[in-house]
Amino acid sequence: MAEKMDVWQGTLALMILKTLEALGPLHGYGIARRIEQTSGDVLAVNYGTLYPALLKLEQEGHISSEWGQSDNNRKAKYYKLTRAGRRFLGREERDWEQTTAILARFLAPGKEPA
Amino acid sequence: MRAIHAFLQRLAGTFQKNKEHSFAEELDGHVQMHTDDNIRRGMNAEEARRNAVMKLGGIEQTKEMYHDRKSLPLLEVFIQDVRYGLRMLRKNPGFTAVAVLSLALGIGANTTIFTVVNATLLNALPVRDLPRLVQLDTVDSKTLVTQARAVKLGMSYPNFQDYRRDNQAFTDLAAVFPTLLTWSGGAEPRQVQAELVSANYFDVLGLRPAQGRFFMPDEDTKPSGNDVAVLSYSFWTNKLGSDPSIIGKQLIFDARPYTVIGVAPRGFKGTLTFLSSEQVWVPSSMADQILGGKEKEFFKDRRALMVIAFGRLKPGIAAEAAEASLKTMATHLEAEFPKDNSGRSVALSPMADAALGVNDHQRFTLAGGVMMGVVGLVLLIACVNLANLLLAQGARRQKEITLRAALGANRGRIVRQMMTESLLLSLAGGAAGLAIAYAGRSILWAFRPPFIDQTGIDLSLDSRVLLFTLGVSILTGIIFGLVPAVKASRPDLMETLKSGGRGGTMGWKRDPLRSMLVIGEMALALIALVGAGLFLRSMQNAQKIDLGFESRNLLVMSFDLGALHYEEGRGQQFYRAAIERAKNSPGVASASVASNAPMGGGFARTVFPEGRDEASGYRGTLTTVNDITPEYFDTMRIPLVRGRAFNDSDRKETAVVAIASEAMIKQYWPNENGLGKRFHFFGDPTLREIVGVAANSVVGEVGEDPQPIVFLPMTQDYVPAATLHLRTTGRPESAAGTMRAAFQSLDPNLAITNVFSIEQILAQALWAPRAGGVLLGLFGALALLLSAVGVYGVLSYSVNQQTREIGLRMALGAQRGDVMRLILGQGLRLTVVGLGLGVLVALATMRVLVSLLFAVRAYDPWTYAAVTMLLTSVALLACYIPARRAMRVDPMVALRYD
Repeated sequence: MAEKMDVWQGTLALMILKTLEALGPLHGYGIARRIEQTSGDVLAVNYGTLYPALLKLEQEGHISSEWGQSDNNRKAKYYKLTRAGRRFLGREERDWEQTTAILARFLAPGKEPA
Repeated sequence: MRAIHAFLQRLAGTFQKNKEHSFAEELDGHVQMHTDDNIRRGMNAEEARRNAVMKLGGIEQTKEMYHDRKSLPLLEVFIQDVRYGLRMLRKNPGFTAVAVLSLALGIGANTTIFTVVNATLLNALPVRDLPRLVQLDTVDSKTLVTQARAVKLGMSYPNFQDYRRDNQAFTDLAAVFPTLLTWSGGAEPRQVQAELVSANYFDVLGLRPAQGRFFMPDEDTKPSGNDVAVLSYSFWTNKLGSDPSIIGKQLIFDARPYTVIGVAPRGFKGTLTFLSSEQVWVPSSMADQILGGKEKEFFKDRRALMVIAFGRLKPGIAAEAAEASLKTMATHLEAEFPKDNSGRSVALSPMADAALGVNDHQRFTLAGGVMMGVVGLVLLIACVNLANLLLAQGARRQKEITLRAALGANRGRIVRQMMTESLLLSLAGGAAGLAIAYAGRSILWAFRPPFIDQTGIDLSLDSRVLLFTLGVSILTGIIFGLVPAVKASRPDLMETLKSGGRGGTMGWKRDPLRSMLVIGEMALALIALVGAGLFLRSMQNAQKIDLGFESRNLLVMSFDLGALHYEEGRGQQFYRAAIERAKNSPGVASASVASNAPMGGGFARTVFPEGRDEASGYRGTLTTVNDITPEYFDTMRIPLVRGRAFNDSDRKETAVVAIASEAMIKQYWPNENGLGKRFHFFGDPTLREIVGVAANSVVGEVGEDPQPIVFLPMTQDYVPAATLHLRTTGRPESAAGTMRAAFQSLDPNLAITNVFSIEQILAQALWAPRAGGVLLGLFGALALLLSAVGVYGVLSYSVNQQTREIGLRMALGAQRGDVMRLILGQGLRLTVVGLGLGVLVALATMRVLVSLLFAVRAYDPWTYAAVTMLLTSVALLACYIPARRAMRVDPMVALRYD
């Protein structure tokens, strides 16, 4: 259970960073919507898990936050990538692609990994 | 790196409260935005909001997740436990005070002793790679040695040079000869400690100078120009005010200018732990100038074991292999110089051990172990007491604990909470103990032995001591806290404890844990007290030991004419003049000069009785020699058993004579009266005739077996370094001033040292048994007090619990005496078992102490009997008070009680 959670947290972190890279500064709700739109329903009843993940990224210095106004004038906290976060994202993306490429070769039907 | 950053952020987050508020706002915004969106998609307001909260996964749940990430949850729980624990301790100030005080005494005693162990036994020499350094000593299988423990004997300088040149096992060997120099730089000439060393001394130790340079390789061999000296850092700072331009300056030692070439690194004072930190090092090539009289010849003598040799093992060579190869070399040296080296080989000791004295290191370690052991027992007793107090408290706190369990705290959480309280207690005790140790050091310092110079040993509470105290405190907290905590966390057992306590009597079956604690406590106290008792008996015995001379009103003062380069004629004249001045001084009854100071040992030479020669394979005996002037025996009041004392007609040109101690006669001519017997020293064919036999007196240390000693007339065997002995009519100290002035008028350049009354010397000589007796007595008393408090605590708790039963018994016709007997019986049964157990353990372990005791056997029946009686009566008293309370129980009140 805890292990699965760790994987989830890791994936979620990557999705958050990617979102912020694509859309620029964004509040938690916006990030949640975007992830939901892109990934289907993985976040369906769990927008909440986003916030510890955001906090962790901020504690690690990958993102920073400041208060602002949303489009319809709600007070919201906006997150944006830091330079360290951008570097981190680059590294993570490469790692991820490598991992998925290897896994794809194993999982692809009919092809022997050789 | 990122992880550390995040950890620090979380650590900070643990102590910030305002962020929670800011997150609530953020969540609020989130839900509102989501609700807005939902409404736009056509939901009604209520449904829109519910959907938003649901998708979030709950507001409170999210806040909690966020909180756990923001802070360190484990730390938070810990802080809660600490806060709660502190509150509990504040609520029971009496309990807290008793607990902290007894822990403070226990931990304080441990820390105090540890500062000494730390400063001596654990104090590594500040040299490079100490484990690779070993000391080389001569072992002599042929010459008999009568002094106990004199096994490793140092080395002769010529042998050292051969070993150094030819060995394959060491990167290099160095030699040291400790001596005294008269420094006449200040207002009054004074003696300073010095070491004649081979030029590679500092290189072998791997040291770098703090200032200037160390010796050049040829400075211990080249014929002249070696008048150079290296100073210890303390000498430089204390005596020369850290003079920044000291290098190249000249200091006058033994009336000869030496150029200061270097200052040794801070903290280095030579290779012995018990040295003054003020030292001067001079190359061994200066031996001719520095040493006088026989020492000068002996330094070049292959037979005379003058120097301490040590070496650094080559990489990859084990000490055993090195020793084997040196032993082979020793056999070659024995074959090459059979006269000098016959029966002699070599033995290695780790330099770290040799630093405490190569033959004494074991005794020091044992003494340190005994002290630590006894204070450890005291602390254990304190632990047992606390465990017991906490058990009682646990019973009282049962409601609270049950409540916490009912509210969802699991057992681990409760144990952790209780342990936190124990640790808080033990840490508070540790802190107070540190304060006690801080004061305790000065008491301990008052007992320091004479050979520890004021500047020599550093009893500071350094990081190692602090770490030790912290470790002991934590360990203590765990020891006394764990059992009560585990027991308290088990409500089912609590139930049995409760009914057992209330209904039945105190005893093994009813309450094994508490009974065990009483038994253990009595056993520990007995062991500690037997140890203390043995040392007290030993102290008593040591003070009663007959010294063989009259110890009242005797004053001694030492001086070295060799330092002023007196030749023999002038020296003899000086002695006569000094004795004359002394005898004419007011308050002096008689005066004499001798080469040896009282109880200071002296040069030992191998003695061969006439007709038994070294060539015939006879084993000579190493015998202490004391060169004296005629009135020595009068002055010391050592009775002559037979024959005559020396007199003024014993001169160079008359018959060569000697006076032997009874022990010496017994050694060489058993069952004979010894008068007229003749002997010679190794390497000196002169036959000396025994004209008198003196009663035995202490030669080296109080309590030794009677040592053979031979007295020679100063006129026939001159030594330039000597001690003036004065028998005074009044207080010996009052004669000191006059004599100093007299010496000054005889030669103003002469340094007078070691001016002591014999009582002072005796106090120093009896340091070990006295300090041992007093300290262990103190710790024994502490153990007694703590265990009495413990037994009292258990019994009075048990009486409280038995109030109802006692009331019932009395209602059924039991007399007060019966109740008294019941309670006393309970306590005494446990006491007797504990004492029995303690006696068994003590009998098994006290044997190790024997080498530290004066004329006391390890199973000394008096000590055991006295300690058992003492503990029994203390236990009786501790039982009596609760028993009396039990006796006064009013049956009516008791039965109505709960």
